[in-house]
Amino acid sequence: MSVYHDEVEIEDMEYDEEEIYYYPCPCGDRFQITKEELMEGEEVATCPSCSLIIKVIYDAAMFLAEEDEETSLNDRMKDMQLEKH
Amino acid sequence: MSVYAWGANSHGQLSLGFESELCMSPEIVREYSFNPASVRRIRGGGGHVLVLDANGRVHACGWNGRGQLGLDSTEECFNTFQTIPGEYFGDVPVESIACGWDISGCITVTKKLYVWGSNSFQQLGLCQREFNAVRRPLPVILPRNDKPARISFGLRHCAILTEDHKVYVFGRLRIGDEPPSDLCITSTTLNCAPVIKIQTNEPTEIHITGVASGQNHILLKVVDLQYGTSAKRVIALGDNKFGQANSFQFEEEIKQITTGWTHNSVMLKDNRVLSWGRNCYGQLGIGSVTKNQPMPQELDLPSNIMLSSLHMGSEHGLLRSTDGEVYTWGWNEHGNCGNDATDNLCSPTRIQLPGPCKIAGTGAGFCYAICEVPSS
Repeated sequence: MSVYHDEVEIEDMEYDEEEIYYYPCPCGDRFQITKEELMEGEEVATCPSCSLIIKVIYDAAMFLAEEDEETSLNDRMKDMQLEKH
Repeated sequence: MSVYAWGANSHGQLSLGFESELCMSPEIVREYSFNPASVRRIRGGGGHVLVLDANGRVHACGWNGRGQLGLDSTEECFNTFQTIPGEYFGDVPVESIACGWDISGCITVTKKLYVWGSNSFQQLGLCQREFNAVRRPLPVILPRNDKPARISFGLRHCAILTEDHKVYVFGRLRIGDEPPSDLCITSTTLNCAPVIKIQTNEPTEIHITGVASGQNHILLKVVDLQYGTSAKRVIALGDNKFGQANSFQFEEEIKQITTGWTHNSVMLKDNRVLSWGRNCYGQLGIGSVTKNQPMPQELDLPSNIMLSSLHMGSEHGLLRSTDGEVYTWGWNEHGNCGNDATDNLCSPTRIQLPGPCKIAGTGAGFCYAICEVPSS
């Protein structure tokens, strides 16, 4: 028996506005991992109700790159708004 | 008649009036909205449960985060049973019920189909842009006005068997590029949502007569009419990481097909249960914990037990005998097996109930049993 209950691609997880990724756990609760944890290189999502864990399959580099892009985009938007003012 | 429940209770799905992680032995349920003697069916989802009574009324309890209890409520959980108002079904009695991870459905006696709960993956057969979740039973009209015969829900899909032996699949179910040669699989749409239509290539020779859904696979019960009218074959489609989508022909008639999240079991007319798929928690009940079993293996049961019904949780199983004995096996971390322990069981183990069990049901990590108890 492997340590992980399953290995799940990040695209298959559900994401909410609190920046947490979720995937159903067989106990009825949900495995979860925050966006922050993923960005720090953590790849294990845990279930708050039980001992089962899953490995999240994602490309850390691409994840960070997308994040950078988003941040710089937001920064640029901010700059633009400032310019307008 | 008394109602008993055990296992995971994180969303109050055991109707005990509170939420808890584990319940290792059968607990008596004191709060319910139905007459226990009139219960016809109990079906469980990820963290919720539906009960159908003899009057065709549906009762719901547990997790309601996506509206899967059908009570038109935004409450996160109900930790005791509530009745779904009959007017939601046009005051027509319900004939059959089904539950998935965060979704539910039923068919009325007039063959009207209703679904409710999560639509994140368009598993309600609705375009997602309009509805992410539906909190009140929603009538669904199938393509060509086909009549529904049975529903089953997986993690993110809904499968509907029609009276004319077709299967429609809503939501996300990845079917391999090379479907079995006996099947014709086509894509269509319903309410702007994608739908997969599964039918046999030779509708006069092969009939699909049953459907059961695992996490990401479906199991079809098939009759080869040239050999008679009894179903002896299963065809599985979808994720096959653990061998759960392997298809088989049996020598005996199949009485019942059931699926866990990543394993399947069939009950045969000769009183045997054969299972295949994942077995890392002992969920196949074959006497040992092994990795995967791509071929059907026999359930490790004493020979004198006459089987009545088989129920699967996500990673555990429950069997009821004609005498009303209840046996459980598989994953047991939340007391799923109800044997007053939390070690996984790799063989069916008889559990202690105060009287013969008349009706049983399972959800992802829990079980229900309605038992005849001598009145004191």
